[in-house]
Amino acid sequence: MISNPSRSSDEIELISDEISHLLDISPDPSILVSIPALEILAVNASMSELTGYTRKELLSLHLDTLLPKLLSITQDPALNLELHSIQGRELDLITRRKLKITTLVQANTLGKSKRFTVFRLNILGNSSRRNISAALESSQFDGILALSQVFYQTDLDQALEIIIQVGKNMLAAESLGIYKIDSNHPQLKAVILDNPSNFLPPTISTTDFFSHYKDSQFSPPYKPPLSPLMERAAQMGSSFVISSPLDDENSISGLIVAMGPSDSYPPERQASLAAMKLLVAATEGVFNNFILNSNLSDSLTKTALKKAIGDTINKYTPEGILYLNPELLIEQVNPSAEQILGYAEQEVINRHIDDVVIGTDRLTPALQEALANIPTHDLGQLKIHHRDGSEFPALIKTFPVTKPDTKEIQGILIFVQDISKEEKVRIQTQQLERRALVGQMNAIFAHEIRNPINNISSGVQLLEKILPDDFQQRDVLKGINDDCDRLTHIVDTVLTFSKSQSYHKNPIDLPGLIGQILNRWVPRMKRTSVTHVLKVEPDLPYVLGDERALGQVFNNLVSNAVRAMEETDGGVLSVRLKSIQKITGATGIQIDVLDTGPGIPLEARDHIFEPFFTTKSDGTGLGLSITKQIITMHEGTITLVPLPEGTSFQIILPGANEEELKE
Amino acid sequence: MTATILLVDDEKNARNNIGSYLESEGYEVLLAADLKTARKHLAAQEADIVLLDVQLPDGYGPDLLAETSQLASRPPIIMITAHGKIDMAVEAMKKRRP
Repeated sequence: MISNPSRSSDEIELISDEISHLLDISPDPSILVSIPALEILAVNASMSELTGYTRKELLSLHLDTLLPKLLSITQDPALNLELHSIQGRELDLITRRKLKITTLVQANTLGKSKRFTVFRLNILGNSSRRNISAALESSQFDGILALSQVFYQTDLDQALEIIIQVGKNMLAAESLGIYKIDSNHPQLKAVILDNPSNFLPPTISTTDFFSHYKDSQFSPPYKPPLSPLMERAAQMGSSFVISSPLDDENSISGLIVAMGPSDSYPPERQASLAAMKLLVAATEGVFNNFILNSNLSDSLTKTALKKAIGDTINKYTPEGILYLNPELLIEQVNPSAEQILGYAEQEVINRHIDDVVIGTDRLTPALQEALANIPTHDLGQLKIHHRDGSEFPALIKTFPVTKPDTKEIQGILIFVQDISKEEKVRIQTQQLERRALVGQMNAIFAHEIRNPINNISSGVQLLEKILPDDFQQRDVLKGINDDCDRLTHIVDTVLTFSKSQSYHKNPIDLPGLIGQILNRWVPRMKRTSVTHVLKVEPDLPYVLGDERALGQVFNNLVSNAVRAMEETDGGVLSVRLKSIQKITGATGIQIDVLDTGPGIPLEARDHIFEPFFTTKSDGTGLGLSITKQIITMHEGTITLVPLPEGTSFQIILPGANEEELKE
Repeated sequence: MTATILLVDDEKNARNNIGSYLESEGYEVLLAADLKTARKHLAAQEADIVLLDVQLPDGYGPDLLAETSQLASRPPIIMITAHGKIDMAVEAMKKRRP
């Protein structure tokens, strides 16, 4: 038992070894410390990654170096805290480079004697690091720590009892039972039951068992086809039934079943699935080794259980894991690695790593170092090839695996993480940042250019005045002046575009606004034989918006359409407004602006909303980007509808709800 | 007698162009590139009208408005800028009012 005070240093080492393996499963940086000596006995890979120290270095460090305030808060009489009762304290962690990282420290004591404490650190402000919820991580971690107690049991019933109690906690279950196939009858018999309200039956028939041969989770209203177990749960008013089969080599040998208390909710699916995996791994480990050795304290058991838990993690981690033997031949890959690299496990077994992970020459030296037992190598971001030849960015780490006693190299673990999604997001952000910077620079540029333009313009006006009336080249001066006006116009447009406008939003009668704009264009449309149609569906919602800005939007679109149709000697401009309902129930207005002009060239279609992109010789290339910016500021969307002829823009603006209209 | 116009602008080309234009119209023109020089001319009561730029190397043009309110002569001031906004005009009007 862990509480044995006469433990020898070998045993401490054994514990550190076991715990350190379990700690590695936890994504949170964690340290195992002996009490009261405060010696660091084990750390996990996350801790090493976070602090920049190697594991070996961490083991020789004093706790004070890492967490300088940890001890002082326990010495503060006002707080009356003991080390093991530290829960959720904000403390600074000092890294190798003397950086301070604020972490939330959580102490977990192992065993009753409080001789070992695990400090788990949560980095503040980095909550969405993993996509599993924090609650799930934490309950899994607690579960793993609690299950580690199974190592120290000498009795099968005690070991199973621990599994049952941990399982009930993790699943928030009312009842939990482990059933094994009864060798004398065609049924499953409870090996151990924690069943205060008698929710679970003492035996399960084989037919019932076959409806639960896969991992399953059911909750009210239980829907047919009902298994007898589900019928029983419905009768008892249980809030959920969760079951997972137990495997023995290749055949199913039993079942773990949990039922929830009547007045609660079923646990989150991902969390319960993860919890069941751990319970199954622990239970299978316990059974296998009791049958094999009849003695759980045997170190074989620990290895087997370690492997069982490790296998589970191996199966469910999104990181690709490859295990190489010292000849660098692949011995094992997990499903994530198969997916990332595009090879099935049987295709790569016994193949050399260089034939499978292709595209980087940085892996080979790292593997050589791993063979020389130089620990953890983080190769950082690399480009490697998928089986289909496509290249993708990946993070790669290597870990040598050694025999605990002789330190002889047994193999190398390679962790591969596909970060193409993250990389895409990063590039997008970078582009947005660059665009914002360009916007700022444009604003400064436009501002600075105004004075010189003014001077040129006033200089020309001066010349126009003082030169004799019969001066021949007056048209040159006029040309300069016209260009100054054009420059001023461009500068003004750039400034409008760069400024983040403050909009004054009011309820807008969109058909009225668009009607007014169209009317303004009527004389010009008449001259160029353009006709227009405005079609408005009844019962349109109001839109909350800035009248001037939205006016600019429709004026731009009408202007573009009319100009385009002037090229084709006339045509029809139609504007249609209709109300739409989104899946979310929110209402909106859809506005279609169509013209029968020459249309936008295919190669230009992807770029029309980009600032300074134009196909017209006299255009600024800002009209549509300003239009899009204004629509976006109104939480709407504008898209170019790909039509074979003409041009069609579709705008969707959210409708104002009644509360917004009252304000 | 022709009126004297004080032109305050830090841009040399602007001073030249506007100054020459005004001279060609028959006005006396005094030039100032900064507020310090402008204040000297104002103290000497040499200007009948002031053309005043907003951003000057030694200060903010409209600040001079409040100062000239104290002067006995109180010459009319016309603000000139390439970056005019309504807010700025309102501010200028308020500053000049005693």
